[in-house]
Amino acid sequence: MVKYSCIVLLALSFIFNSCETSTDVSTALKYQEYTVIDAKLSAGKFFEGVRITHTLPLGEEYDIHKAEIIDAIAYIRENGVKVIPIHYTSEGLYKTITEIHIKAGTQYELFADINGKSVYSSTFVPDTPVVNQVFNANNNYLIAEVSAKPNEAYGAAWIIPRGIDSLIAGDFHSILTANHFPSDITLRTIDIPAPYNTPAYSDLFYIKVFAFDKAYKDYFETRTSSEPIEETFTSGGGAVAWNVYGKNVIGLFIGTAEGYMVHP
Amino acid sequence: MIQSYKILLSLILVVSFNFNGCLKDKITPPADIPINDAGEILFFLEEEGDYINSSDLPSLTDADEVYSNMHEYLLIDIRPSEEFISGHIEGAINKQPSQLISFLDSIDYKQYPKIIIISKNGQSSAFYTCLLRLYGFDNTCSMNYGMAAWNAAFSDEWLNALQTDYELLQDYTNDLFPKPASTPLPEVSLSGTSLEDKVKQRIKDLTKTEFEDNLIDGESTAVINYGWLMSNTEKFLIVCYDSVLLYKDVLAGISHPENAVSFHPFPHSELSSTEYLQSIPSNKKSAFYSTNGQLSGFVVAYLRVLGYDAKSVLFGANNMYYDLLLNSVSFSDEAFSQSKIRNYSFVTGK
Repeated sequence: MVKYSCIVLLALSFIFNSCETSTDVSTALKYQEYTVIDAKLSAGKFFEGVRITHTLPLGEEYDIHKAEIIDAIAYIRENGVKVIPIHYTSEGLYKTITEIHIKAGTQYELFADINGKSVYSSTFVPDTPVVNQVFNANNNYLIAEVSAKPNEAYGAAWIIPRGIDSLIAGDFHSILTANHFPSDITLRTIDIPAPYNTPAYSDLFYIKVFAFDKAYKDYFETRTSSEPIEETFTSGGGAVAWNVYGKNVIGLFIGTAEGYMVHP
Repeated sequence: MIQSYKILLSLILVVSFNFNGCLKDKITPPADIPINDAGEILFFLEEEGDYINSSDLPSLTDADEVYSNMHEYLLIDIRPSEEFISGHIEGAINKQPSQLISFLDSIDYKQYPKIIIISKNGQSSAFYTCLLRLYGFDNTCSMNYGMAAWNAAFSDEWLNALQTDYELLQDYTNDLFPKPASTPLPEVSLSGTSLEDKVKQRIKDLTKTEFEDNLIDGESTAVINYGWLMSNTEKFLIVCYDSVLLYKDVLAGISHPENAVSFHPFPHSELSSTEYLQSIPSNKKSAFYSTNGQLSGFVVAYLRVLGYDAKSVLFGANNMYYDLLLNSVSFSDEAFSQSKIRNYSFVTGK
């Protein structure tokens, strides 16, 4: 009796599941174009602009002149009030009519109309992060303890200062946020590569902490999603958490602040 | 008992399959936040050269230059037809402000090195010239001081405007007042298909604005009388839109009304979107003064396109503290006087 019940229930489950829409898979992959927004707003620095482009079909060699969008109507808005139009300059880059400084502790929004399609994003530009302590973990990596603030996320990078040609970690080990405030959080850098991970170089290493709008944490943790699955445990699955909104729009419009270099 | 658990487990599995069956992986509603209409206008005007913050402002042409180029320039007199008939520059045509855009659209306006807009005192011609510039007629200029500079027969209003009200000057101050905090851009409503159509239609509508060349008392849509302003200062943000020396020049004794603020034109262009444009309140009227009311006429036109309730103080500082202008190294040349009246000939009739 139980066996029959199970069979009936399983059959029913298949029937109910049939509300999934079935699609005939075409051998020719259909290309979906996305609008791509790319902007970093660094506290205390000149606004570098917003790059507005679109994706190119698979297999097509990337050419900025093919990818750029040149006719967007766009502006940024400061703290919900001050509207500053941005204008196409070259290679998809939209800038303000005269230079502006990005202010820490300020919210910036992006509004754009791209051929009738609305694009929106909002970001918070953090203050320069406050580093309380730094440590050298046996020359393998560096550690920093920072005072965390709401709406901010933090990452740390090792750096060997060499003027404009400084050697800096190419990535963050992690991006962290705090759950309650005030609190300190501990950040570590990625591993220091050979041959620098020896005591001979330890005096040369500094750590630099970067603060971000907390949306960067979601992006950082999902950034390898949707990539070709070459490494089962790190690639593919899910979607990248972009912080721009609109139909078929991806990208980042992110506020950030660089800390000072601190020697362990 | 075990069988009951198996059945229960099967049921849970089935229900879980059913619920999961219709879920999608990611639901991110696309934001459909339209951009603000005044923001669109601002974008368009900047895209077209940001005239109001450029070195082209104010586009004024002296009577002497007009006289020397009467046959090359197109002269458009915008005074009422009865004033035009009573005397105008030879070769000038008479058009009302609301006809200007249609007329210029109907001709090959680029064939003229300059198109000169002429009013009685140069006040309203500054306002309408700015609208024409914003529309795209980039060879339009306002005749400096209007017909008043052409011949003494038309200079009565300018000469009557020259005054120094010492009683009001007693309330002036040298204190520097900070610009107000930013307010949102004004609410405007645009209609049209493309952005260019929408903004140009708005500018065209504004050419119907009545901008008087003289106003004995009170205020109108885009113009305000100085005496009236000083009796109603609490209703306005008073803005000195000129060199900072018109706001405060200790040597010439020039100061400003209480709470008035200073905005610099080009090259420091404080009305730029990146500077203090939105310090002009969108929830309050503003009154702009310059040395002779012409630069303020230009800037008021620009602000009204953006939706601001801005007004120009007619004749500017010439009507506020004329004697001080005469004594000023910086502004004596902008104080209207008999020497500016060129007494060129004019014709009557249509």
